[in-house]
Amino acid sequence: MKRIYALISLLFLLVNIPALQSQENRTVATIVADVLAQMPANNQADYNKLLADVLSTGEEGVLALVKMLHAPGQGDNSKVEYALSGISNYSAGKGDESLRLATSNAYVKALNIVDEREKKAFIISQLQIIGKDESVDALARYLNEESLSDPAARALASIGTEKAVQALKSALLRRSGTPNSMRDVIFALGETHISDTENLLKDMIANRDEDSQKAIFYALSQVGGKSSLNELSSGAEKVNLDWDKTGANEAYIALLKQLVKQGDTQEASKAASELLKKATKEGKPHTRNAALQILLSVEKEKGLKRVQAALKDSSREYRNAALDYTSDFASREVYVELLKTMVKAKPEAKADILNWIGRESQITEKSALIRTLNIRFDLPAGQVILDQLKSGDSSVRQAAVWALVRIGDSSFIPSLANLLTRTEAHDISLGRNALIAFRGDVVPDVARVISSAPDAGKIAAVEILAMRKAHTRINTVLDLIKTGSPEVKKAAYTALKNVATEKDMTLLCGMLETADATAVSPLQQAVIASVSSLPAKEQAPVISRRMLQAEESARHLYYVVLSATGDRNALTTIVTGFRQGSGASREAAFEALLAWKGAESADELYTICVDASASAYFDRALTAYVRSVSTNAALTGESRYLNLRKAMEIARTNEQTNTILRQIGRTGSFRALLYAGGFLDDKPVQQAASSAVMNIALNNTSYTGAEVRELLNKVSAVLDNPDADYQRENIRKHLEELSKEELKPDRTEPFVLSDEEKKEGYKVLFDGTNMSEWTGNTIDYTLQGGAITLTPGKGSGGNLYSKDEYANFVLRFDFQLTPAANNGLGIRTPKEGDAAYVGMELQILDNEHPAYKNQRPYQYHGSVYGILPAKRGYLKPAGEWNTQEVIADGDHIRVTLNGEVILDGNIREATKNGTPDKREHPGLFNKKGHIGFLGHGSPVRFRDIRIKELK
Amino acid sequence: MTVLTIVPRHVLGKGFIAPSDQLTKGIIGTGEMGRSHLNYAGTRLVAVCDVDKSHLELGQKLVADKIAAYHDFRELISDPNVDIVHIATPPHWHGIMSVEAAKAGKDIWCEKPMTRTIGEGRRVMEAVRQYGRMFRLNTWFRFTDTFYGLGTPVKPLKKLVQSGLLGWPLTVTISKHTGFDWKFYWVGKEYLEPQTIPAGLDYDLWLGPAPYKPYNLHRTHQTFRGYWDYDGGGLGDMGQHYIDPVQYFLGKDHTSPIKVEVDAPQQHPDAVGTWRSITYTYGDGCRIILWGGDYGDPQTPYISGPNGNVYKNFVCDIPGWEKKLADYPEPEPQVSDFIESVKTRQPFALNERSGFRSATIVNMGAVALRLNRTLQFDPVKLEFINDEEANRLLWQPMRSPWNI
Repeated sequence: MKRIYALISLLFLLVNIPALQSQENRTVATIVADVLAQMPANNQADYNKLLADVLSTGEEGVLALVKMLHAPGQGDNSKVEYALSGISNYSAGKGDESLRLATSNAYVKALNIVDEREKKAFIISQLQIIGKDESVDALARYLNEESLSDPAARALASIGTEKAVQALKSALLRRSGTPNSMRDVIFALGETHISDTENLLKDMIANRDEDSQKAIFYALSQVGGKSSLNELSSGAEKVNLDWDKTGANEAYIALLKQLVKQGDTQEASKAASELLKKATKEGKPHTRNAALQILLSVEKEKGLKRVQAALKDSSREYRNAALDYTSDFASREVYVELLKTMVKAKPEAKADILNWIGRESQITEKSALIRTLNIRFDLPAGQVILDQLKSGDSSVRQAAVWALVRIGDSSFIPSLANLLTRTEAHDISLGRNALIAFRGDVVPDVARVISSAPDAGKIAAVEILAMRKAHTRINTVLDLIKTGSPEVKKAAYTALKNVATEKDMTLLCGMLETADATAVSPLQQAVIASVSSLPAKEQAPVISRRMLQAEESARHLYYVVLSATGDRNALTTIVTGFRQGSGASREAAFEALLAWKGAESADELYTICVDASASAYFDRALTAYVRSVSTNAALTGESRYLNLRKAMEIARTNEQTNTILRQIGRTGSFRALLYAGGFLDDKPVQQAASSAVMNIALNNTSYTGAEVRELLNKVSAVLDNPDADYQRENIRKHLEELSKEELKPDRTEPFVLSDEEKKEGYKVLFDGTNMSEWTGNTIDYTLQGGAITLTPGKGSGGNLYSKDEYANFVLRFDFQLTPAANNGLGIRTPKEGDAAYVGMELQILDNEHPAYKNQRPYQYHGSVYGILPAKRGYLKPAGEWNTQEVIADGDHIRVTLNGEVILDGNIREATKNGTPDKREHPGLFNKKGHIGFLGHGSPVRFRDIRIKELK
Repeated sequence: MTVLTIVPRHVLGKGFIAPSDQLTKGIIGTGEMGRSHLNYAGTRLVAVCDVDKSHLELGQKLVADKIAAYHDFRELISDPNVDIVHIATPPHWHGIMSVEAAKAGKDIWCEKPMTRTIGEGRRVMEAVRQYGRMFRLNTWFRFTDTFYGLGTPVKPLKKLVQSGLLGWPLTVTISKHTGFDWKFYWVGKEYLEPQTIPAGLDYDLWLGPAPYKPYNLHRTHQTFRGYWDYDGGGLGDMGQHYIDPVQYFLGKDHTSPIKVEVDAPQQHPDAVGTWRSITYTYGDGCRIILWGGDYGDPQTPYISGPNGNVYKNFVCDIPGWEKKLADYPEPEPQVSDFIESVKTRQPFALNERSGFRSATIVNMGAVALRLNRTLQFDPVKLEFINDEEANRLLWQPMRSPWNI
């Protein structure tokens, strides 16, 4: 909420102080304050401007900001942190080295002016991203200090220059740190990859705790060279070439990789080869993989023999790791040799190599090379892979198939199509999947193999023809319908719609009219497909004509086809068919009505729903009606809601209610929101109602007010689904946003008295433009958006008083409460002390809030606190503006809230037997005093304040 | 009736899986997300780990059998009974744990986002490869299921995109209007009062590699997502779900965008905030645009190309596209069973390499948001161009004794 206030107050500053001082005249403090008020910047332009502004003050601005940092728990640092991190990012990103340097130097100074660990850590975190050599000395001071060695060491690691390394090294040499701070330093050294600390680190290995050993091993693996081999290899052996908390094994492997990088390949190879042997012997497959990777990274093509040996290994993991590492250097020759190896290999290894070849050919840079491989001058690689389709091992066949698809040479298509003629189901499905994923024209070969394929192969083939919409092969499909087994026939019927064209229409219609029950639906689809390529206008007439020519018993078969044309006349035919038909014909017309794609069927569907004689159709008609009105893009949300509400009125089951509620939630209508809210207490449909309310409310920020809040709170309580926590969080955020929205200014013009009030002699105490009539706590009570706005700081918010004193008067004003807000209107009160006792307090309170349900009437809103009770129930919901009039005439007090007199009494009479609250009210009968707003810690706003003094 | 004896793998020796043997898993992080990992079929749960006692107890109760319960993840990854390590911690641990598990010879099933920096992602990629491990990232929209609010799985989109019918380059817009919601309620609070660390929570180990900051409940458990030290808000939490399938159908599994631009309010250095748009551009001109909240044009297509557009629910505006598309191949099947991957050592569809690339998109965005400026990226060297500060966020040294 504060952010919004800050923005609003800023706007006011801009509007009300036209004399915006020029940059030079503003003090550093003013500039910093201005920038802080605008943090966080809303966009890059503002961001750049604000930060350029504050950086114009040089280091002074940075230091001023740093001084504003609070220690943890002592205050909100967020604005200062926005400003400082903005300064860092802006200085470093501008590409202006002098700017970066100045900021970094300012941070260096700032480190000296703050004490607390968290403040220093924050500054160091900024140096970590923007500091360079200028900050090294300052950071180095913390390296031996346990509480800050961690951020300081990390910052130096990020800086990573020679000077940073020397600072880290000196910290080690000083040996004055704690074991933890030393460890921080060593890890940081490891990050820098600069090598002159190797001997120093080696000397430190002995007698360390696990974490420190880990640091040293790691650092040596990064900065070390040949001379660290012994230390790290014995470290790795101690842990049996496996993982442990000190990371010794990994450090040794990392060192070997470093040696390769540094060019010490012989030593690296020798050591890796040893490691490979030992890891094999010790049964450490992962370490063995790592050793192999190092060896192959040195040997490259020369390591081919090693790869071939690995492929004979019984471990699948090892074989595949070897192939993976081979990718880094695989040349034409390597591929050829490994394909030769494949031919002779055992089935498992065969599959591994073929899978690898497949993956390799997916790499853009390699695909052309692999496609043109020849094993011998007369033997293309593709042939060797094709041969594997004959393998007795299904995993080999599978790997070969996918390698072929990925290489993608169209000469492979016939062999892949031949898979459909095999007897094994696995081969047929493999062939089918390969062919549909194959880039190229597979249709001729698929059609070719159909006659020789078993039923499963025929089915697969016809599916492929359908997927590729092979219009030229409709006769093949029709043949299968004639000659195939029942399963094949079924698949062929299903495929028809994808291969049919307009010239097949007559034939298909003939088939439809004589079809058996199971073939009707696919044939209707096929007719629909064939007619769909005709111009839209011709479709329905063509079908209608055909319908009339058909025998009476077959005519109803065309209703669904008519429906698909979307033609209005066709709809009339269908409706008539339903109303006048009977039996199968009526049922078919109804189905056609359900299948109607447009919104035009909605009226007829609703008519069926309410027609008692058509009750057998009720459920399906209602579902279709709901779908039709909800998907009708021509309807507004409001009218979709009204149509859905009609459906709700006749819904019979919870399932129907739920379906309707789901659609209501998509209308976005305010009335729909309230309507859905009415179902929240009905357990079986509660979840659908919750979603509906939530969807509408959360997508429409303009839907505000107490009803919406209440419904959303209710939804939050009943939501029950796996995402409920997310949704509740969403609702909470939304409600928070709503409060902000509701507090936004809604008044831009100054308040002016009505003619009547002018005549009666009212005086304006606040018109929305200035607070000149007011005094007291003007820090928490500020002018925002045309209202006196209390944004309580740390305490209760304090009190604001009129400058003048008033005795008898009529006071009129508007006020706005936040939920559970508490404030008070002081009258005839001095400017010090508790106005409820030293003067008189007229309660201002959101007493509709459950928090106040146990209050006494003399504490209700409007009551003279502790003395005279008021009537409850006339406040507007929190967030809305209330209008109040207070008459104080001698002992007579009258309060009118939103037009209702809620208090009308005499304070002297009320206290003749003592005060009702049994407390002393020494100021109750003051003759005069100030008017005050009495803060009790809640945000509240006031506006349009005017007063008429009574003589 | 036959009695089945399950021989633990380590008895047979590592790298050997008896055909009858069911693989085992251990879950690190048994908060709500981690506990749901019990449901991933094909493996038997044998160990759980959490730094919060209450979560660990919930984890132990996941199965009726007595299972190992660890406080320190290092005990779990070195447990010889565990074949697959599931990592369901906050993201600031993902990188370290994946790398350590690889070093220990385990296969890895890691929650999204893969890592919280690009540097950590590189290390995961290297370590998984170096030790010959199998890795799967736990988001699944590239190979199965309907893709959030888009109303279609990715496969038909991939087919259409790779057919070239839409033309090239393409722009993909991920926003509320196209069916995706950036969960902006995962923002952080810019000011947190220090609180007493609850008994049962090892806060130091929870923080692990992250900089020390005083404890507040909001930093931990589900709300950790709102802090840059551990995650990246809705972008970090949901980004890979939404972006990875796009990377897949654009055919960008082997590369990264060369530029990222942001339009957002300034970000706090600790608490993640909201943003309006993040735009990524690839070298070939393809773009991925993320729009937050209600930002952007509600009529925008999901995919837009020179020759046509695709909207929600797979509505394409190319006349007769269905017929035209029939001439093109289906996308290849993907390895979408991780257990099969582990057994046959064939990479999973969303592995450490493709996962690194989609995580990099998320992490490039996070850096650009934090620095509030346009950044250029080198997809081969994997670093930002001419921006040392951005590169320092790309590779962040860790709080010792943690490193990667």
